[in-house]
Amino acid sequence: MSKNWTRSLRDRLQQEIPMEHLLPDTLPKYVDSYVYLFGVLTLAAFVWIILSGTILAIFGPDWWHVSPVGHFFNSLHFWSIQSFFFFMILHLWAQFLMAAWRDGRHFTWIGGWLMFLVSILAGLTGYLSQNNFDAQWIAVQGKDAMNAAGIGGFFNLLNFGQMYSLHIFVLPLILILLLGGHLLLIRKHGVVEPLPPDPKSEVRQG
Amino acid sequence: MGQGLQPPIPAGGAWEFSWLNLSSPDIIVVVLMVVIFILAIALPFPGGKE
Ligand code: HEM
Repeated sequence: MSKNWTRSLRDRLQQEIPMEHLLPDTLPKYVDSYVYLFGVLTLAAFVWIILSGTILAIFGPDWWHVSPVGHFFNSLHFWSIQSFFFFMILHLWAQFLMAAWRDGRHFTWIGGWLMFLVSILAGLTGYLSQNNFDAQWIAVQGKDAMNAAGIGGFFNLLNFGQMYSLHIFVLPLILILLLGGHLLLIRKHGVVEPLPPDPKSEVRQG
Repeated sequence: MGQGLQPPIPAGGAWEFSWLNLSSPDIIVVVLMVVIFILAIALPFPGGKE
């Protein structure tokens, strides 16, 4: 049969996406450690960020600053972000210390870093979207740094509409796409094996 | 609005060197991260029987 792009794309997807490994019910023995939970804790925090953020976006700043229920969802959003970064850093330490980029997992690692950097931008634009004096203060201080870096022309911290759309649409979308890739790659490669014991080390265990 | 909400909002007492400037909340978070990381490595995971 002749090749066309739907057919080659389908073949490609079938080969790249490990359907039978996507939602595993068993994992290797070495995975029974709390260290492997940091990734999924980050993921859980991210889900709460999206849910609480969607509610904030629907009702708007006069609601989240004034109404008690608005305060509650504002706090939920804030504390989800605190735990998101908290667990992302612990996840990063864990993956770094087990050199989890081994055996073809380099794009999982690089994608992780990209998510980290995009998350910081999302944090900055979030602080600018608070709609209070603090947000104004940060924007006015930060614009000088952006101008000094030469990107003030198209990343203008004083342009609230730009910052808010980046925060509630563009950056979350990029994060969700990167996260989808991260999770697919993890399931494709399987959990990284523990590091082999150091042959030079004097200390023998057990 | 309370005086505490006028920027710059003080983050509390700071642990300061020329190369490092950590407020007490900063220190609490960093210490907590280190403690939780060590516990995650040291504590056995429950239910790993096979
Ligand atoms: C949005 C933030 C992130 C989320 C939601 C996330 C989620 C996850 C999850 C659920 C896993 C599998 C379970 C685990 O090993 O913990 C994982 C694995 C992994 N993550 Fe992340 N991650 C994030 C950021 C990062 C960062 C910042 C890095 C490092 C630069 C990173 C590098 C890795 C690597 C290399 C693996 C594969 C580990 C293996 O094969 O065993 N991730 N991630």
